Amino acid sequence: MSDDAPKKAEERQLTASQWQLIWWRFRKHRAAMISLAVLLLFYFVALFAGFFAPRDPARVDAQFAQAPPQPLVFLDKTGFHFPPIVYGYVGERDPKTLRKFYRVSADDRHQLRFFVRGDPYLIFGFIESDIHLIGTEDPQLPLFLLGTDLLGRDMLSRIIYGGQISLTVGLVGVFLSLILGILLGGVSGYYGGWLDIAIQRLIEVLRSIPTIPLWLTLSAALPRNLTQLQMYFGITIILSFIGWTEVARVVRGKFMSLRNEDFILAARTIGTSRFRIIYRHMVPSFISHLIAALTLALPIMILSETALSFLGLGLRPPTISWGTLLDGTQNLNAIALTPWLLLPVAPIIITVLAFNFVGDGLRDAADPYA
Amino acid sequence: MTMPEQKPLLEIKNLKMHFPIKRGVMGRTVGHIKAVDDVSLTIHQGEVLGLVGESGCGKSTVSRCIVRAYKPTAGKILLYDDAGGAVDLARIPEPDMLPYRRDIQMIFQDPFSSLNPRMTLRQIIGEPMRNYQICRGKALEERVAYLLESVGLRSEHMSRYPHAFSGGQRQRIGIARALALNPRLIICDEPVSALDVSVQAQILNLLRDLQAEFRYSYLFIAHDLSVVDYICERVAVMYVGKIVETADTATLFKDPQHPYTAALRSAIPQLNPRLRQLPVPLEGDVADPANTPAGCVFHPRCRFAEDRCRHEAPAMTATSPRHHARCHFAGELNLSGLSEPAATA
Amino acid sequence: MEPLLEVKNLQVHFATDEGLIEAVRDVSFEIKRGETVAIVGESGCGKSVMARAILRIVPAPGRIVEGQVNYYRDGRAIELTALEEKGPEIRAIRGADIAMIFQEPMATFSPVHTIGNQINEAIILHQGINQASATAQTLDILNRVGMPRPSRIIHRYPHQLSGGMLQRAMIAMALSCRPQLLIADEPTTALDVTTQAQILRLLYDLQREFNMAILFITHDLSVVSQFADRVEVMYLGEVVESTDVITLFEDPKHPYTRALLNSIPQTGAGRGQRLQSIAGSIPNPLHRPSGCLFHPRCDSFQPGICDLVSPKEIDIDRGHRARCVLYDEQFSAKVSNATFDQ
Repeated sequence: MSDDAPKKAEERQLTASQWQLIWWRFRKHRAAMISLAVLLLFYFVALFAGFFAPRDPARVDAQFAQAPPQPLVFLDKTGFHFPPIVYGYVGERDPKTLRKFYRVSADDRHQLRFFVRGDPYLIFGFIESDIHLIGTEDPQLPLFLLGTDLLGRDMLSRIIYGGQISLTVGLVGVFLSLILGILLGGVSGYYGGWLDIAIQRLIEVLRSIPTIPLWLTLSAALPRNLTQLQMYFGITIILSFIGWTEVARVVRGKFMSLRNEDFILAARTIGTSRFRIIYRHMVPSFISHLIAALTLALPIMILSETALSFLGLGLRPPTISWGTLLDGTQNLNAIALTPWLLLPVAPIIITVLAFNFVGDGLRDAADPYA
Repeated sequence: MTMPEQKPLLEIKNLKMHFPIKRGVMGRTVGHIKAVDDVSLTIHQGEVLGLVGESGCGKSTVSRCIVRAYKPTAGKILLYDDAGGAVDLARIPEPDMLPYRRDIQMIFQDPFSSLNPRMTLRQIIGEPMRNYQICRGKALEERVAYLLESVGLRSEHMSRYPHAFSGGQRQRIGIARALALNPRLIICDEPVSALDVSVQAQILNLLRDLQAEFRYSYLFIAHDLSVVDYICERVAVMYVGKIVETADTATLFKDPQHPYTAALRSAIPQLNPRLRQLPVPLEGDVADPANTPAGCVFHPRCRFAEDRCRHEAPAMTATSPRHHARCHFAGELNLSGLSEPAATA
Repeated sequence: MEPLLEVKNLQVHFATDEGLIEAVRDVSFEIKRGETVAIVGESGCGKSVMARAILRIVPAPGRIVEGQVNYYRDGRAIELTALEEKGPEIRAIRGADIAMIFQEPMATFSPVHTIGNQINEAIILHQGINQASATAQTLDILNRVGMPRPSRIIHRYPHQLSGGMLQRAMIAMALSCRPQLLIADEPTTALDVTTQAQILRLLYDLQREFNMAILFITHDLSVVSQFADRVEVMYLGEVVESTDVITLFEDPKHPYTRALLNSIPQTGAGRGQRLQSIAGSIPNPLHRPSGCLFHPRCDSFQPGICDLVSPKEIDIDRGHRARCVLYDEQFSAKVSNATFDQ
């Protein structure tokens, strides 16, 4: 029995497919593994945003506009609390500027509960629910763990909902880039000739246009009266407009070098059809590299969406994305008085870093036969 | 060893493969690399023909023209069927090649790059049979198992990937794949030169046993004359895109008629420390196939070169019915001194 | 005669992610002045790592974990293994006292400098002379390695030369400081037979002219037979047999050496006869066999001994050692001679 175990492990290694080998190598990359866990958590939270967000992100609580974050309190002079409690707000007015502001006051305690009923929402867009991970027993009581914006909407809920857009806009963009890139790059590399020359020149022209002005022009060209969904796809198409050129170049290069590989010639001599050579022999041998490259391209997409939306040229309110949330921080005054409005920057930084680490790990693991 | 009546299997006639040299943005052709320049060869059924030469002589290009990795510039590649009918592989369009591909299979030099690392042995060896819809499912599995066993591998390793095997074992996998379609001609492109010495002998023995059992025809390409001597019945020697000599193996080694063959022969170090010679049979470098010398391509390195060799390209001359050499002085030169051991300083 | 270089119980390990690779284990031999020692073995036998260990250029993650390399200069021993790996002492020895040439000359030369510049630089670095006399020396050495028209070659870039020419240029650079020892790592493996013959002849002539020792690393026994004085046969990091070249070919003792010699096809020798091949393949260095490393492939395998006992190096004759239990008195009673003298 004890003799059998190492043998089995060895057999597993010998019969391991490309993806298993890549996964085994990837697992050794610590930062990448942690980052992967973080990203999975982010996507999970975004998928069930309604459940994790304490409130409806569009719910306006005018009486609590620009309220600062409430800390979660586990332990205070009244003892240990689990679930934790939050303190209520006291409205005050600045004696000099006469501006109204809120202060967290320990006199007012609200007990929190897990899995409470609150604002209704839809799971996957059609399952009705009103259960929230955490909330006050009375949904009318204030619960603003990351503060509120100018209209009194809960920042935490808005950041969670914003992730739905910001985390996927890049994915869709990258996916479109991948399809376009493999198609055009493949045609370019496999057939060669004038088709290749035409596609290569097109790529060069596209890549020589400065990105930001191009995006600005393209998004300005999007009609104003689009629905939120149309706008979303409009932006992804704009983002992948440049992205595919890089993919196409890589794919073309791989096709050209693979064409001269012995195992491709071997496939031809045993009568393998052209189409099968491409999808069975060529694409699998570079797809892992491509995925690694695209993982590294994702953060750029996410940042681009943010930048466009921040400038008011990408997604526009009432659509919630991390970019549109930052829209409100464009004036210095807002930052000085309500610094918590900058909080959406945190998930952006974490996501971008995590994607970079995962991309690094994938790139190192992409070719298990090297 | 050779049978008197041999039916031709593959006949190469005046094959030329010139690769254009392109320069500039517009890809203007500024010259040609004459990788294969007027090669004629016949491989008979059940014969093992060696094709030897140094790197860059065009021997691999010949093999790649036969499997139509390249479309030849000129010439004919006639594949004969059993009834004596022939088809010219050099001219038929690519899609029509399919039925003839199964007759000609190839074994590659590099056992690492010639197997797709992302496929299991079952998939690699099964693919040719799948392509021609010979068998599927259980029958395919059984046939793969049979092929693995016949090249000396264990059939239970079918689910493994190539990375699980050593160089010699991978070469066996490549051989099994080549045998899968029961080809009539197997092109062995330097099948042992990338292998370790202790493994080379295994593969050479395997190739010989398979040939003896199934009467395959081999075109055996090599740079190593001792390997060719071991496995081939007849040998063709190539130099800068041209065949310079063809003969039965024993004759070629005993009585070479082209000075290049003689030089190649004596350049092989003998495996005997008491016969130290370290001869330098040839000075200089192999001619550039993009810029070949006038007259005989070998004349700048030939110690017998005369004025005629510098101007007039020699034709293939028969010195006996089965022995041909591309030299103006074929049959006249005394080349034996070159291949005999001489004492060293 | 005093030795020029002495390698004692050298051990080099590579700690990789997959496990520890003992690339060189317990290797001892010596090279005398003007002598040619060949290290012969197949891939993974550690011959190249061993050569690099002498010059202290073992690539990471390799590390010399034990043993000594002593180089004798003017009757004084310099322990190379005790020097700092990137220190000035070893750098002064590299190139000047001990030079190395490689299989791939392209890897030695920088593609962006001319051949002449690179050889000049090496000469100036080690001899501290001026540019003009360095150039004169460069031309002289290129001439000696049989380079046609050296005055033109010095202005060429490496990619403009053929394989054989580049090999000559590399030899010229290696010999420019008149080393006492030249380490040649498979210098002819990438070359065609006719070019190989030229280069071997050149090395042979230059060795006599410069009276230097050569450590010749190769997998090709026929080259060994033509070139070497002494031979060390390596298998999986160990020297399995060590003797002079005549004895190696006429009376080899280790079963591996015997099998290797029998498996080489020779022209004219028994056409139509089967080659005697060695069974199996070279084991993965991560999964070394127990006992004698060669036992799974050995004809004379003795169950109960070879798979359990790591054989010691046994002195068979003067200057002839083999690492095999067949010659170990401790075991010879148990080993039936009949099986091995078949």
